Amino acid sequence: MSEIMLVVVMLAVFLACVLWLKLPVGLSLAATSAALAVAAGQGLPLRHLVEGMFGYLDVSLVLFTAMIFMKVIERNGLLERLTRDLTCRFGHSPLAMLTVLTLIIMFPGAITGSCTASVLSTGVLLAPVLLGMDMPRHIAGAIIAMASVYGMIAPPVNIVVMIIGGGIDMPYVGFDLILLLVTVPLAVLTTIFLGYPYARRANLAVLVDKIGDADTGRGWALYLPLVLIAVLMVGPKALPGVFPDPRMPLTFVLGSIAGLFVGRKFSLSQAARDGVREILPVIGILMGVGMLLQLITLTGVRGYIAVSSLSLPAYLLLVSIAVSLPLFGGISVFGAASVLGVPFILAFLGQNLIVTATALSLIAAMGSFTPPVALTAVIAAQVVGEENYLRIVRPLILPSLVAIIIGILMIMYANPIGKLVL
Amino acid sequence: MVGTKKTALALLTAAVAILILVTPQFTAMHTADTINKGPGVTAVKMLSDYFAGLKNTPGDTAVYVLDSGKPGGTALVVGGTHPNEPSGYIGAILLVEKARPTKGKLIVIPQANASGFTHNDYSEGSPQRFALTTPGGERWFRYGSRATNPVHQWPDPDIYVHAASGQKLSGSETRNLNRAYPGRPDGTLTEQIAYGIVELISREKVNLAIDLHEASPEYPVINALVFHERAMDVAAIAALDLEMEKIKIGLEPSPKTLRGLSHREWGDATGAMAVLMETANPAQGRLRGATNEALVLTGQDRMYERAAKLGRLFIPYDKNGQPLSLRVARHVTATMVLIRDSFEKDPRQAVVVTGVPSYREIVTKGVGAFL
Repeated sequence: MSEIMLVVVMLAVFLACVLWLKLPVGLSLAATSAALAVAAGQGLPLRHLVEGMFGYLDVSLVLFTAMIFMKVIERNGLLERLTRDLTCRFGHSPLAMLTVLTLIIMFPGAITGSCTASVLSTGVLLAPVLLGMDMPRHIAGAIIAMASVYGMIAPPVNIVVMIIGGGIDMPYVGFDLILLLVTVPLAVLTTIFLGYPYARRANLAVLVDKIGDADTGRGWALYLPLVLIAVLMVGPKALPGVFPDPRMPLTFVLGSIAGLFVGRKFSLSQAARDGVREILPVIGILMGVGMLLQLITLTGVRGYIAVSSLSLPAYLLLVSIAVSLPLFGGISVFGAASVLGVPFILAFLGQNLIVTATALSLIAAMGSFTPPVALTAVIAAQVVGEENYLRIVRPLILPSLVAIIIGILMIMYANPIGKLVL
Repeated sequence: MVGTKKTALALLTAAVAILILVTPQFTAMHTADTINKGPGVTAVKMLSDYFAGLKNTPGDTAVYVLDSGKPGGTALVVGGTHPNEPSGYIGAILLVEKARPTKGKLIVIPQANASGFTHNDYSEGSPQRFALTTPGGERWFRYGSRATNPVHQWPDPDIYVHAASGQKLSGSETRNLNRAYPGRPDGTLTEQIAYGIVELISREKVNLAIDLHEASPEYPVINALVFHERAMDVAAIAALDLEMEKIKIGLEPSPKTLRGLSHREWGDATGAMAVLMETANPAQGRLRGATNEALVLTGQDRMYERAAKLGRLFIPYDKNGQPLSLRVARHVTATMVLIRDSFEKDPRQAVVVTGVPSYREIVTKGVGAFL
């Protein structure tokens, strides 16, 4: 069967599973992967299905432990306390509030290169603050998702650029300023665009009074889990080789344990069970994505997509980048960077590659919101308690398009931008 | 669909059944390939003989010494740095099984990252092994991963910081042997392997060190020879000699800013002339079509034909592809030319190697004919 027919089979089976059989997305992706293999004459390659899942083992561990941490700080009162303190400090100015919240949400992503880290740490912490500003859940989720994605590509750590650069032996040097200039203004403006209409109307003075009375205590000890998490996340980056790197799952586990000793008393086992139960559908999606990535590679569909993207005439190459990178990013942003980002940057070898790689990372990052996977939006939906993640994706369409257009302009004018900035 | 206890039980049973079925496939990757001692092999050591910290670890690997017994120089050939680049390690195995030094000493490490041979890269759909037809029948070799097995070194950090330079790379590069040089005795398993190899180069007073690799056809440095500045003259002469044999090979100086790679760190950390060579392996490329054993062996791929017509490749590519035998022939022939040319200036340091089939023989008869 030709590759184009395999793509048709893939889409048909997935849609049938989701829309007709009403299977969960994770199971639908698994069934799609199996169907793809059968259609390609590979039988049922169990080894490949299992191997594909390992691609998301590390991320799954982060999600499990982060979700448990989220439940812990929800139950010991830290979340309420943080909401109160931030609102009291910045509640007088909606613009200042939104700017500060954006930068805080971005921070974990910037130091780890993972938007999941942002959504599940600062995103979790600040969701109540956003909701407290009278924002609908889906808008709060959209703000968290977009700020986290900008955090992922903000300096000092942009793994998307590292992957693209690794494909052409370009060291990760000289990116800090341009990444900062691209990400911070866009992230803040996006938050203001999405959140200001609500924040402006919200009566923050009343909110400050209301939250200020919340029964969360006044001692700083409640912040211990948060301080511990911050130290364990920043320490290894600030002092590499000196400060031991516990990695993120252990960081969240230690933070959860610390949460036991401060604030209100609660049952850790119950918090852990609740956290795991809530995040399990997302893990299922990740396992399904891993299988599908492996199977589209095995059957040649991945190569077909990559070569077809490069097959367009030169004047359509930029259109191809604008469309295919975010679309493939819907399966995996890092996968898109590797499979498409590297061939694309090779097409621009004569121009400023630092600017070009930055632009490609910006465009690829917008794939974080592409359905059906839309992983960042899905996790953000969990965080804000929004049942339909597509409601989070919708308000992000315009900001994503703006980001993609800016990325394309950066590629077109990479040399003058490079001279100006670098 | 609403999940019930019955559906949960059914899915759990299916998961356990799948686990039982696939486990033997994964564990089979830990069975070592057969490498026969050729007539020139005088000793088989282990990398842990050069760095004891590797003893009884998955990073320890065989080091074949082919000593002529006559004074001369020492050349080192390393294959299997990346176990998904088969021309490198098959070329090195061919040297172990066929080469006969008559002057000086040849040392070969066919599977430098032994751990990388025990698994495959996820998301890549790679075959676990491939078969070559040899005079003794079908002979199987593992097709491994670019990196150390995460079972042996895990988890990856978010960012890999190269210890000697502070250079930052994507976290998964932590398990890439060719980003770990010169290595550290107290570092990760990958850094310890790198350290062991650098120790070997120093202790054996290796004059010429060659690292055999492959890359995807869309990678700019392909069918190329990357040289440390100390090896510049030798590399240039070798490229001319290969050109005379109608083997085109590009010359690339080792970038001083790209750290952790063999051609840079071997040269900087030891007195050796360090060289890395690349052939084109479509089975590891991003643009490839269906991934299977045939692609590894024939290097023929419709998607790469399309990419070549689009001008996206850095090598000529047509329906004949890039067969493994051709890629091994390039590596083996270029290795022999480098060894010959590198000691021309000082015959006292010469290494003379015989018994190795020619480029034409390997291409026409197939590499399996010599294994």
